[in-house]
Amino acid sequence: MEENKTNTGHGMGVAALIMGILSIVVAFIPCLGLLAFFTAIVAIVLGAIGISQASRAETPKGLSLGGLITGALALIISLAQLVFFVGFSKNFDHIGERIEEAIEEVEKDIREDFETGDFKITIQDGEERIEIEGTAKKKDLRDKLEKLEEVELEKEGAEKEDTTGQK
Amino acid sequence: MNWKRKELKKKIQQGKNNTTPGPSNEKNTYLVINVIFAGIIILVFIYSGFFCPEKNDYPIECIHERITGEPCPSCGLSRSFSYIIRGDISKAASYNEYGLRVFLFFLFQLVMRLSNIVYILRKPIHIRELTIVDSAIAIITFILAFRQFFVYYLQLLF
Repeated sequence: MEENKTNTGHGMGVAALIMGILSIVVAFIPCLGLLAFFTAIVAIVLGAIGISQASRAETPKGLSLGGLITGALALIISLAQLVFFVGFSKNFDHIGERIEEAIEEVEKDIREDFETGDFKITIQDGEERIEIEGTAKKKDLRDKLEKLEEVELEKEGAEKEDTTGQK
Repeated sequence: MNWKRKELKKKIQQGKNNTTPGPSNEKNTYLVINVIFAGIIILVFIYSGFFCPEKNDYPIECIHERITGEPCPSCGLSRSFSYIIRGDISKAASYNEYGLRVFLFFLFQLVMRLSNIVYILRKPIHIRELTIVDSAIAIITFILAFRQFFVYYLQLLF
């Protein structure tokens, strides 16, 4: 009975220490850092149980305490990574909104430019100079398109008349 | 050979039955911790040897890359370990530049654990001193092997 009493919390302490050390190693590997969150919690729980058992039986609690400390350290490292990931995802959402806003603004500008814009292109090669004047106004563009269509129709009509006359 | 095995088994059994406090209990605790860590390290090496870097069929994925879409400093560590196990150091370095350093840490730890097990079973004296020295060496080698990851974490936070 006395022998059992001297070992109370000892097994828990060993388990806590092993889990704590493992958690620290895993926590410091960036690929697996988040997994350490769970193992660290297990280490802390085991350590806490070990300490409570040891203090009740008045037995040494060094191992449990070691497990608790290493577990807590691993949990802090893992939490730091978790905080980074949460921050990253928030920033990412924000970046997404910003990109959306920027696209909308550019779209709006382009629309406005096309509603009111006239343009002039000048090509100069020595003395030769070519100037192209145009408009990007929707109304003007529509008028031009209609005129072009009318010209096309007239041409087609003239061609048909020519062919019937020849016959 | 059989005699030696029997002796070892006897000693381990004696250690298991011993529940009294003091140096003997300390010895058993230290023995158990060493055996478990040696086992874990051997499992890591078996994992690295079992999975093939060419097939890239590792069951553990990088959580960091999955979330951020960018690789982290420990990406390619499993493949690097696999190439080291297969003796291809240059390819191992190409997958992860810190792979060899981390692998050497685990190898060193395995040697330490095994030598400690042998020492405890053969000559179980000065266990407390051995534990302190062992812990100090483990912490220093861990910092040396994982220092790039510490730096990465610091950059992540600040």
